Amino acid sequence: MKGRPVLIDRALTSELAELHPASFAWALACCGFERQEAEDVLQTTYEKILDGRARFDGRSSLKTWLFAVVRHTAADLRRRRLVASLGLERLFASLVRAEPDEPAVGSEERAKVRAALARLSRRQREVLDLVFYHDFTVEEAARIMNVSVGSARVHYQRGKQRLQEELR
Amino acid sequence: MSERRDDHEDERLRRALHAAHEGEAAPPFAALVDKRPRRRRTMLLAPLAVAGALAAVLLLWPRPAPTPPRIELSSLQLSSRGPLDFLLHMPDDKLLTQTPRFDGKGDWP
Repeated sequence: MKGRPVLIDRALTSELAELHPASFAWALACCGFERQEAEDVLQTTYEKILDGRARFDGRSSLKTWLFAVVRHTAADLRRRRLVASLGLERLFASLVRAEPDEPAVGSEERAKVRAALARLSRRQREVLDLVFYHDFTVEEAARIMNVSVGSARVHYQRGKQRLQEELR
Repeated sequence: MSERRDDHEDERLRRALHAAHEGEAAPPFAALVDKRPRRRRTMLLAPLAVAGALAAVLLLWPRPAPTPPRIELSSLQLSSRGPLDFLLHMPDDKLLTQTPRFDGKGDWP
């Protein structure tokens, strides 16, 4: 009885391991490039999957489904942190952290792009990251973001336009 | 012409997005999968939380109030004596409770 879940678990674990670098990059994008937060999100995502709380139903590719779980987990974590920080101290800290003009660590180009991305709406950032970094189509991005394809297209077009202006 | 410009812009955005992710290597997969401390802590705390909630429910559960002992009306003796009751008593109130009787001698009974 216990053998089968272990086998499934192993197969799933190896697939998750293969997708891990891409998943982490996506978690980073969902968390505004906050590394610690991205690690928390990804760890919670793996927990959900390996404990069976999130199940892959095969209606999309494993990567699309995994990215949707990561996105959902990041949104959930953000909501919970917001509620927990209603004592205002952490909320204030997170708002300060979200400031786009924060002095960036790393290369100048990276800092510039991150600052520009921070000025976009969350959905615009997400769709651009999925399309231009992870090479998803807009349709796949819509599935991950749980929005209609039409809505994803609007976010994609406006996001592109805005990012081009910001980087000019 | 316009398509080529779009392609050029897309390529520029692609490079920009890759630059945003630059230098962010993923932590080892095993480190995230094997850690799972929150789950274990939750597993330990969950029974305690359930027991606490159960105790709280038992303590706060509305119990029926104890029925008061039945008192027979016949056993009740009601009396009241106020501090100013003496004012209602008249001296020689015997006169008011009895019918005066006059005998032949003309004396009070």
